[in-house]
Amino acid sequence: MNAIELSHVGKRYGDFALEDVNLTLAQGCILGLVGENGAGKSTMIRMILGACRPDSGTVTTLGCDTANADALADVRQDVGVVLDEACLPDELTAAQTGRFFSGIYKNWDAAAFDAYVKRFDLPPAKRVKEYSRGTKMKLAIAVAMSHDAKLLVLDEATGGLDPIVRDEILDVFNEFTRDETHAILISSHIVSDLEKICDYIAFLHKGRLLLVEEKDALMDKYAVLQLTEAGYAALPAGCALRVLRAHGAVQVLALRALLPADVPAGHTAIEDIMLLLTKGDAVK
Amino acid sequence: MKGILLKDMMTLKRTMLLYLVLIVFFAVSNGGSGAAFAMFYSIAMPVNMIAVDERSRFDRLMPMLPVRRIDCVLDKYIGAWGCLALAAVLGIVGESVKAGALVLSPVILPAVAVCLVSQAITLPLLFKFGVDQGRMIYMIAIIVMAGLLGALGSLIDGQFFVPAQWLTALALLAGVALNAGSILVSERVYLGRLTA
Repeated sequence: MNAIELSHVGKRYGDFALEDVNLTLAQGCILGLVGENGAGKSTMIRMILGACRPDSGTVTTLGCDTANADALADVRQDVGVVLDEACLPDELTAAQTGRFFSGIYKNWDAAAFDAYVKRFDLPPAKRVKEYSRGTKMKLAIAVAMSHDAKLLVLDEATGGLDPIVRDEILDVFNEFTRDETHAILISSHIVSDLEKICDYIAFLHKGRLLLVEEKDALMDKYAVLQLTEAGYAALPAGCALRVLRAHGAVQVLALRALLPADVPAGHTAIEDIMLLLTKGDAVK
Repeated sequence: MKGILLKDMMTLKRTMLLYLVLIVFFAVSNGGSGAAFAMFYSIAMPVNMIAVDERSRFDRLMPMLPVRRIDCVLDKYIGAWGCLALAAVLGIVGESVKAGALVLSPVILPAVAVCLVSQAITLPLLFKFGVDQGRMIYMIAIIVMAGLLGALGSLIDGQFFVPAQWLTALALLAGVALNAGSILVSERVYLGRLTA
């Protein structure tokens, strides 16, 4: 069983449209969802969680068609969710938040929650509204990790966290997928975070899924080169896919397999590939 | 449902305490009519509950939690009914303590009926329009409730020769029936808004 399956999914909001999205997240994997603001990442995540309905196609979460609201309510017992804001009742303390969620999740693990509260150094007696944004996000992550979830859905969950805490949180997510029945869907603008932990990268642009690739294959397949006009012109046909001219330099998204031996192509960051895919002109 | 109710009780603990003080004050100072006034305030409880959810953005997370859709709205009704019942009981207790015997003020049951009808009408509107416009709806509801109670009082006074008990019983039944329908309407409206 796949953790998530989207088949020919479409959704329209005024001028924005999510079009014919097909995506699968297998168990035991971490899928990173990247895309600019307004690309449709949050809409996709809301559909996966049954918080909005697709206009067309089907969305299946942990084997349950999200159109079946009652069945999905049960399936959500196995899903941990962290949004771009904590979205927790802000009058409660961390301890009260734990008590509240123990009434929501059947598999609530109070000991695990307390351990996360300690691990993340959360003040147990302070009310959530007195927390900093980063601390609120850590509390939301503690909640998502404390009910034996099989799937974590994280929508910009590491936003607002400093690099040290982010690193610690990424470790927590990595630990989570050591169990092969677990899976994570994570969207983030911090592509370097996704590069660290993801097995697959899905790139959404203006409501269309431009690519879904295994992360290592993506980095093996593409190279981003900084060339002169002459160097660009010397590339063999079919090698350059996208080109971006700025500040007198030519940035090229190229297929590594077709690169001449004398053109050096070092490590390629996923962020650079994304930039070229969105801002670069297609090479005919 | 248990978790959502617990959350509302914990987040609105101070508001509930204040409400309790108000009911006791009105019930002790004015007996049944004072308690009836406190009952009108019961409709404010769901307004507060929704306001707290909206302020903390919990209303964004709630549709993604393993909570049945009907439970998301039902707990607001339970909050309103709880406050209404508390005000009614304390009104009866206040009146009885003053009289030295068990007394059921003629105002209490008609007030309960009017509040039930008003809750049934206003709650779907609150779910539809949210808290900002919801506060305005609440103000209008208070005025309408006062008018309805006055009208019910005139009928009970005998101007239209309707037996008081019958009228009160009918109004209570209408309140209960309307609440049942109102919950279903609220479920559709509220979750339709959240899951659009």
